[in-house]
Amino acid sequence: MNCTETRERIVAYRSGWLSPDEQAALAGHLDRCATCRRQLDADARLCEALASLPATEVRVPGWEQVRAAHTAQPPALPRWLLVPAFGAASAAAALLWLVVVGPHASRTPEPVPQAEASSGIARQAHMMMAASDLGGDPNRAIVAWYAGLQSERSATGTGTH
Amino acid sequence: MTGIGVAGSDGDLVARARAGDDGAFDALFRKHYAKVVNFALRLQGDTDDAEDIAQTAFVRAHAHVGRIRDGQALLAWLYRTVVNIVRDRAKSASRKPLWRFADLGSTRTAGGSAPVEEVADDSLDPSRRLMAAERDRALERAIAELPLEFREPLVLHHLQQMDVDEVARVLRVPVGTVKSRLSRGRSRLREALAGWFDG
Repeated sequence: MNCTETRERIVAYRSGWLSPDEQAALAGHLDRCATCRRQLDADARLCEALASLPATEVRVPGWEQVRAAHTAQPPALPRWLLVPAFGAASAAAALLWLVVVGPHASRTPEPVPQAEASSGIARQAHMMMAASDLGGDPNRAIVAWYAGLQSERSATGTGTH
Repeated sequence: MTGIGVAGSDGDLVARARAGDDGAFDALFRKHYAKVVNFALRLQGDTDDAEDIAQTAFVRAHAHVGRIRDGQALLAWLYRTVVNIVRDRAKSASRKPLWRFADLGSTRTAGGSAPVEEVADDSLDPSRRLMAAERDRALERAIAELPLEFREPLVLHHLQQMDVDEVARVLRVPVGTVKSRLSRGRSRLREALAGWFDG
């Protein structure tokens, strides 16, 4: 066995992974070769150093805290979107109520001529659009629209209660 | 706390966790967390990432605890998960350096708390202690520079004290491959650190 073959097998030799024949052949070479013996000693020192490498101190967190932090959360709406989102949702709900329910909700169940119903919806839509022109504030727009609706109903005698 | 004093074998604790006992999983977490963080740290070198990787491994273990057949092999299962996460991150993060050497070593505490004071060893004079610390840093750098295929078995075998059969199971490679990679990894370390270990 030559030096190259010996050095390739030093770890296996020290770990006892070689066959008995290979183990004996390598031991014979080591007896004769001081350079390879130094490699053998270097591997022993390396293993000692690896075994004594200090572990990093770790502070163990609470399991429940870790579990909660790693459990998928639905993405939260950013704070800056909350007020506009609420305003938009309110406006959409009001418009839906206005178009679908509004014309029939508080009126007497008498049949209404189609032309009159259409003009009622058109008038309310116009009032909504006019009210929404109040500086872009959806809440003020809704309040103004509702006040207009109430005053019109008082005038025509069709109260909401 | 470093997991000392957690009673019960892994097999018992996994069986209890499988039956819905969250306290048993908490005990497993306290028992193995530091080892798993250290393993992740040796593989990829960043303390914050190491903690995140270790926690992800535990969350996955908790989610799949019903499927862990051999409770005694839980630690190997966690190491395997860490290996997978590190490999995935290494693939996707080739644009940034994998290692941050400052995070390694016993003088820094994972979790962001104050540094741990080194315990004085009276058997070493100051210059020898300094030299030993310097050698450890050189060794850690050399380990970090090994390709992942050599680093994984080397860390598992020499730093996590697993035998080659266990290492082969964790890495899902034949035992012969583990031995070969350990030989080549150690040979590279000897070459890189010739000045320290040639005597």
